[in-house]
Amino acid sequence: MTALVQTFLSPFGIVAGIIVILGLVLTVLRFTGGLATVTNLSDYNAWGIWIGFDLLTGVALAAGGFVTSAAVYIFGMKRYHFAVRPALLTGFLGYSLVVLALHYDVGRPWRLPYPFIIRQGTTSVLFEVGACVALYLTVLFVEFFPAALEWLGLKKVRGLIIKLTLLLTIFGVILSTLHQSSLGALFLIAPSKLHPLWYSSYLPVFFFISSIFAGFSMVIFESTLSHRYFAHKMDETHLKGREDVALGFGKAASFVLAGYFTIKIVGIAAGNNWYLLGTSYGFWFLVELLGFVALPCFLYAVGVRDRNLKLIKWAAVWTVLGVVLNRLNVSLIAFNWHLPSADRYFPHWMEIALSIFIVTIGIIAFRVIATIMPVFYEHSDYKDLH
Amino acid sequence: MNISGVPFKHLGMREDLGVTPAPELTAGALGAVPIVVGLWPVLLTGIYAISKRKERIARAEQEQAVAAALTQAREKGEAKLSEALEKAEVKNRTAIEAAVKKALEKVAETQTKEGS
Repeated sequence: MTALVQTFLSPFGIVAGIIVILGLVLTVLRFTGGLATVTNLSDYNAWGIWIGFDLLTGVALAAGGFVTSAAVYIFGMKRYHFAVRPALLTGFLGYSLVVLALHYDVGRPWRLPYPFIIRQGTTSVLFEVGACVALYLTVLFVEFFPAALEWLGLKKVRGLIIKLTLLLTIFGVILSTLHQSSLGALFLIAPSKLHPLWYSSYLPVFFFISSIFAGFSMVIFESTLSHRYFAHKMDETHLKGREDVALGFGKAASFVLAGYFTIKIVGIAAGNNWYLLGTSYGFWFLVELLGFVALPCFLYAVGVRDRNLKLIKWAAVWTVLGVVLNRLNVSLIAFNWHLPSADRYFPHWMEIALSIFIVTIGIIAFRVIATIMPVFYEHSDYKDLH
Repeated sequence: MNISGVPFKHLGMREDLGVTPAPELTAGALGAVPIVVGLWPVLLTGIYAISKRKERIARAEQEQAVAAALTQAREKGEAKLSEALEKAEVKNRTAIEAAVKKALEKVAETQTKEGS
């Protein structure tokens, strides 16, 4: 009991508490007053930061789950096995929060299951995104479920689910490929609204490839944070393997970033948009491409070559910021770029507060689950059973 | 749809929107879905099989190497042992011969003493 009180009275507890209370108040406002009360959304700007940040960025940054489980179970890189559970937990929480945020954003959230039950829209990209996210959230839940079952001591069910690992991993990679790319495909329908430098018929490919290095970087970033706050919960393998993961995933991220940089150049060439690079949007595009793709690619490469963990860690943070920037550019900054500034969108402070609220819920949930369930260590009853 | 007697530009509406119907813009991306669903399982299972095979071969090679090393060590040990045995035998034989020689000499000595 005293431990619980101590948690609440810690600096983290107080700040998180204030954010949660404010978030709950704003939630009441949102669902009683409607979207107009708490957002700056309009007919011109139907999607704000709840889509641009919470959803697009949230899904990209939750890609750590599928890249890690694919690396370990499909590509056979067993030395990263200990990193799978934290990555799956981050992924599962990330997707859960995406779905939660969606409930705030759509006008009538109780109608979210309609496309599955009432009427399918198989010609709509949004239907595909919805179907994949719903299915993948289920897959992530089942993939992470063994941790909860170990905690509860249900050996038989756990054994059954562990047998499904490969199947679930393959299913997870398929679903991730589909919805990561179709989040980019959502914007294919608006060539007249999205700036030509960001608009490309390759948008789905850009979104998918960037989700891969976002996933690698998030695993490195999350492992750095976890080592700071959960070191007491970690077993030997976990404590020792940190460097291995940073070097392996850093190297992979560097390669994927290099590939992404190349296809982005191909994108400019395909649209023949070179002349736009001299404009102010062109400058901003170059900031994203050189500063947040080429630079972290180089930093990762140098960090891995020199075995410089600190540099790799910063490269991971920079890459994550780059992915956030890219998603905000596509969905908000370079979207509706032709509109006069009076009609442009800037988030209401309550939209920002609710986004912070949702991220905070994720951090609290991560802390609780990582504290009670075997996430950073192998449960003593199940050693070497994986 | 808008119908107007004056150019749309004068009404503040854009004229650069093109004539491509919206579904055409996303049809390609949606068309890729069944291809991914059909091909990914094959590709991923293939990668899994390759990594599994590599693992199996590596394990077999390791076992083979260990077995070879063991045989080699055993052979070496046996050779050493037989060599040592042989040496010991030679040594023993020399010792026995020396002892016999010594005894014979002693006997011969006593006989000479008794004779004189």
